[in-house]
Amino acid sequence: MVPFIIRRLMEMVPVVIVMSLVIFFITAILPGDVTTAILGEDATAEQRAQTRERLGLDDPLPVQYLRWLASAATGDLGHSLRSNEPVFDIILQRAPVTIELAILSILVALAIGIPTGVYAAMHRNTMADASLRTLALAGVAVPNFWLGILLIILFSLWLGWLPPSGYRPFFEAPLDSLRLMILPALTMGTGLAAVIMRQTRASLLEVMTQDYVRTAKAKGLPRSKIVYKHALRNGLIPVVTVTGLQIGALMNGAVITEVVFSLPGVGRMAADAIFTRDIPLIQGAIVVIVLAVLLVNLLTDIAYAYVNPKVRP
Amino acid sequence: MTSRRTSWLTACALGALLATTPALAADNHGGELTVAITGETIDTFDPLFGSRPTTEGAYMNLFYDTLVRLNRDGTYSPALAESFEVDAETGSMRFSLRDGVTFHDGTPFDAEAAAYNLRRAADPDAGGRWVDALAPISEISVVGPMDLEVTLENPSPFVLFTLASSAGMMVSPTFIENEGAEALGRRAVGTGPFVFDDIQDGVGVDASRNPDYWETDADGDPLPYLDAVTVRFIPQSSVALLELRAGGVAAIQDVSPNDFAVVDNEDGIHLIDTGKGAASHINFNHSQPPFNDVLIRRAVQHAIDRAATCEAVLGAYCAVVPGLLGTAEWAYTDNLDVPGYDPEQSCALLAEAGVETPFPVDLMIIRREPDTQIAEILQAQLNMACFDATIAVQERTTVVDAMVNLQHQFALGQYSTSLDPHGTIGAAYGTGGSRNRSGISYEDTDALIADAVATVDRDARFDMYEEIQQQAIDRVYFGSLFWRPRPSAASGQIGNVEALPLAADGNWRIGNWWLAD
Repeated sequence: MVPFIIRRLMEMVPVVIVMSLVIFFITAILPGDVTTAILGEDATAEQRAQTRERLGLDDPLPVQYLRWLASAATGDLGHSLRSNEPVFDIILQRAPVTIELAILSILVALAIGIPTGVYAAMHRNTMADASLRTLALAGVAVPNFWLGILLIILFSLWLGWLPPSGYRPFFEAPLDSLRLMILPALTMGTGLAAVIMRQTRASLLEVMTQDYVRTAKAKGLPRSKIVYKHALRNGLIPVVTVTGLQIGALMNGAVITEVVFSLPGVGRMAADAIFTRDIPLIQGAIVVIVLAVLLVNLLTDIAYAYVNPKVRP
Repeated sequence: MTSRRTSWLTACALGALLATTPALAADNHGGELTVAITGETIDTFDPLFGSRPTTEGAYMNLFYDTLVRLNRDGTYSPALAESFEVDAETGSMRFSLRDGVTFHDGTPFDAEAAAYNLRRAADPDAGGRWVDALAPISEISVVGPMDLEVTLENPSPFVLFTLASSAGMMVSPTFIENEGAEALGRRAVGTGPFVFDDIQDGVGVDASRNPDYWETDADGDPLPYLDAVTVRFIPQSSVALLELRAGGVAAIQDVSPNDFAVVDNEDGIHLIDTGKGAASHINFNHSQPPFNDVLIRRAVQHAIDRAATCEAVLGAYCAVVPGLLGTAEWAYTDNLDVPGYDPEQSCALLAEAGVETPFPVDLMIIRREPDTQIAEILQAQLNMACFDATIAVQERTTVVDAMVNLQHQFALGQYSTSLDPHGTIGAAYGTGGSRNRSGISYEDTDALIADAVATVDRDARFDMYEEIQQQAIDRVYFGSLFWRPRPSAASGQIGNVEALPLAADGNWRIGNWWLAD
């Protein structure tokens, strides 16, 4: 297992480099640059030119990229063109927000998806099963931003139970932080819950047809014991895989969710950096996001290998 | 410098400050308030930079003061300058500064500090955005410990106007010298009613009461009333409104036109008329076909039913204007001859221009409200008038870049209110103007603009700007649409919400707000 992990970690490096290269050049050829964000729309051509020269934006693109890459290789992700703050510091400030949101969203998704998936499997082809599957479809189809606004209107405006938006660091005020994260986690977790529900139902139904389950039934074991002690354990293996693979999609949702709920996370930072053409910040965000997705995929593979010895490398 | 006669500005100076300060209720001091601005973060606390000159006052006014303050009627009140004189013939100014004022870092505010800031604002090497506006300044002299003279090469009332804006905001020279101007990107050190405490990127800014603030209210009690203010950054205006309605914040800066009626009709929150607004217009690219042809520009103007468009977008809050100025601005006039809605005339003009119809045109817009709504209405109207209009929706940076480089055909634009017409008309219609993203260049217009900005007499300036605006209409520099108000919204958390203190430019004066009981 250890050589497998080391190999996978080393494989991440070229992936990150390629992604950073692609994103850099796509961003560089987009119209506009960061001078609009720094100087405003009313800046003269001379002021823009002066600022571009100061920031090194007139250098050839390969030179700009290699300069960034050389610096990144030493751990220095550069400075935001807009605020001049170190990119690493900005990301360090923002990452805990996205991590907290992601973890809570996954917990929400698992807490909703697994029990509903089990229930649907155990009540296959009933009205309950059909309703749950329809709800799951809706959960996948509903856009995050729309759901988020709806939840704010319901829980903040009408019921007054939860604050509409904002953020408190978890280690500074845990209860406040969790309270502020309930709606965002629900927003982001709903789509994933739908996927998990469908996967849980499908894999449990398949496992229930296995010989050992038939044997357990024949031995007269209670149905709940068959499901929860024997079938579910194997039925959750694909769920682990699907959940891990969905992390990338979760990052997409994080951008929108963070904007709607005013969460100062990496997703919102990346979106703003793209709109303002703050290239070092974009590069930094991409490095972090890609690494995070790759690491989660690796952890998923490790977890999968742990629960299913047949696939261990 | 000896004044030959006292300027009318000096005569208005003393009383206006008292007139703008609200009467004090029983005990209004204390408490904390949270407000929200729409956006990701604050670009910078450096008054010479930033990408939001018309809205940044909401937070900049917390930390900074200027030498003088502009009033809505165009007069000026003392601020950090206890009194001032403007020579009506030369335009040169003399400021007697207020004694006993200190910056938040303890640096005394005096003539040297004021001169430092004004020189920095006017210095081309500093790269600030006000350099062109302050170009008429030939010398800034310290003539006494608390006396400052600003000498102009030629008269320009726009200089004083600019100094009353963020260009004239006083930053601690000690802070700049020790930390560098770049440090103002994340921190403010001024003389304002609140002291900067902290900024959390993407979250907000915290500020606490300046116990040594120089200004008092009408009863002589110290300002500010509040102990602390938090300015939150909320990216979505719709979420900001929900926060206001839920009581999470006491005021929000921007209200979407779609929400005007909602806010106006809801108990407990108030739509605040800031006097701010934006002139929605069509920005033609005069430098290349098809809109280098005045006939085609005129055809577009005739194709648009401005009243119907305005009403569809803004309803009861609509104001059809002939140009780029709002109805509250002193240079506004409706004594202008604007082409009316006439689709048949539009088609005739296209025929006269010798183009085949339906004539394809591509309207570029920024992805924001209400621009998308306006564009859809315009597209329908243009297509009914022998055009074949398509809409290209892009994000802001792309559109700005296209317009700056004159790569667009025509685009939907909006120019925010500037309380001096030079800031709007001069910038938009003058060759090389900061808002001239059309390639407009006419010698007679440039000459009029230069004369108007150098004329002190307001009536004479009014006549010149009226003439410029008629030139703009006749030659269709821009396609006139309407003026849309940009109100704020505030809740009953604020004690004086019914007469919310604002600066002349509509930005918040939170130093004069107090909490409701």
